[in-house]
Amino acid sequence: MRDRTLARLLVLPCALAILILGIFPLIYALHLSFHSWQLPSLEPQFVGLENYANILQDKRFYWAIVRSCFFVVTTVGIQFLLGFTGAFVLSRGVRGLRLIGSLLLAPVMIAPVAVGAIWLPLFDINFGLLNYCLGLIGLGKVEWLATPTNALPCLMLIDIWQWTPFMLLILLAGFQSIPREPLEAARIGGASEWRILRSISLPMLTPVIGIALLLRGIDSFGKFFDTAYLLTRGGPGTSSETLNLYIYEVGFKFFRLGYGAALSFTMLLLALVGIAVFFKVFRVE
Amino acid sequence: MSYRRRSNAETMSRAGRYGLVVLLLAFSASPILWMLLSTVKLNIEIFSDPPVFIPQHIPQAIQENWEHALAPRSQGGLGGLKSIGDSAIIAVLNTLLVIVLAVPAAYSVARFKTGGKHFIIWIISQRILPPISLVLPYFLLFRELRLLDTHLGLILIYTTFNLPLAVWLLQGFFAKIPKEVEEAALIGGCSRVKALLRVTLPLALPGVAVTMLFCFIFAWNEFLFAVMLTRSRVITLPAIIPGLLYTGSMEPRFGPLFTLTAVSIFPILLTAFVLQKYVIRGLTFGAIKE
Repeated sequence: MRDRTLARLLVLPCALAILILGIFPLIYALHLSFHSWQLPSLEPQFVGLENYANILQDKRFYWAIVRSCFFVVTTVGIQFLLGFTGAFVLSRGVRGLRLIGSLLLAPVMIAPVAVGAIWLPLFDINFGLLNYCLGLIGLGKVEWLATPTNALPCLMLIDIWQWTPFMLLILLAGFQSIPREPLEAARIGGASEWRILRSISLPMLTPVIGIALLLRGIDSFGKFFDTAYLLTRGGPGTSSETLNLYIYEVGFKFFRLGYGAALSFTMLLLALVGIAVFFKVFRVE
Repeated sequence: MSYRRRSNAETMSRAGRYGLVVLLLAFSASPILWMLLSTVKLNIEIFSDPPVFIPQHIPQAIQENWEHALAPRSQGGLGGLKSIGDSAIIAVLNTLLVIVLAVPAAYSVARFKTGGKHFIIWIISQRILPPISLVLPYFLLFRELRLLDTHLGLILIYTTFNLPLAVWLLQGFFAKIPKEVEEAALIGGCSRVKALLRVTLPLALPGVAVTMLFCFIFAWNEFLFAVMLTRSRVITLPAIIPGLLYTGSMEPRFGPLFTLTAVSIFPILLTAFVLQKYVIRGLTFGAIKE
């Protein structure tokens, strides 16, 4: 009985902190989303569901969703393919695995905004390393970030660069956790490597793959902001404007606070729907 | 015959394997190496066509880059020294605050199953929440509370994001420590709290260290809130960067910026290497335990 009191007492400070710091601002944002509040004016005005009704007709919002979804599916997909191949190869045994692992950790640990800064000079039209390399193999200069068709793919390239090692390291941990016996039995039985991968390794890796895709998907949808803010601000035009960038524009450039809050709640809802679909597909607990 | 063919195939696959590893490391490391090379280049060498692969003025470049990076803004520098201080204050105090709040909570969850299923749902929902949806309310609340542009403001916000991760990671580490060890201490006359502090916590020390590392990294690297909610009194290292790149007519000075970047990632990488064994666990939100 005394243990139960103690148990609750120990959780109390943490729960209070979350309530005040996490839940309260969220409720405040929900409250805000039912109001119209353009910042120079001092008083928010209650408008009911008007903000949400406007969202349904907001073309810029729909395009931002399309870009965000395209961004998430493509980057996470490529990260997975590259990471899986790399993890498979490394799991077959190479020397210096510890060192390789450490080196691969570097991009993951660097602040995304610093990663943006690292890539910026590489993309430079006249002095950038990328155009120099293209020149070496006889190709013309590319305007990496400056054209509407290229801006978003460039941001995706950066994201793929930063997070492929993350995917690889998770999947490598998965490969290493597969028990050796069934693999060796299959090998002695004459199964091809491809068959072993498909019939033994892959089913055993499914939970790990699920976690890796889920984590990357959530972060890439909800937290992709820093490099885009630094390199394109959603431009040229709105060609690289994902949901995060659009909400930033609405809230902090146009100061339409109520509408911005309504947009962020819609985004949260979309994230929840996405995750529900993911769980249906993967059937993970 | 068949033996020789097989060994040929094996050498092939081995060569392929190492080829792929080299390719992978080159892809992964080259942007970072190029950045590091820029820290020993003068600005003319950075903006040069063809690119400079072997810098000619290394000592001079290092001196200029470091001076410019660390000099205060009032003297035309990046204000790096002040920003290192700001980032360190915020990251260290945030980490300590989170640990103090998270250790008892995690212990309670691991030992007494406090919260049960609700707890897990809360953890996951914290992770799903897009940070941008909290920026506006925080901005407005902080304006009222006069917390804009302060260390305390960012420390509190980062606590919101770090607490769930910390509780989650720590409870995993606590759950692994056998109950019997603690019970022995209880029979020996220790109180629960004393047993936690004297027996369980020391055993969970690697876990606590990893948790602290991840809290620190998050606060050290965070950009969105830092750039939106602070302006002049407090500028963390990530928040310096956009101001530097949009200087108007001047060419951005990458040399000093990258010097600062290198300085800021060095302590993190070092600690991560030391704690490498546990890092995957932190990265995957405790889902994968090696």
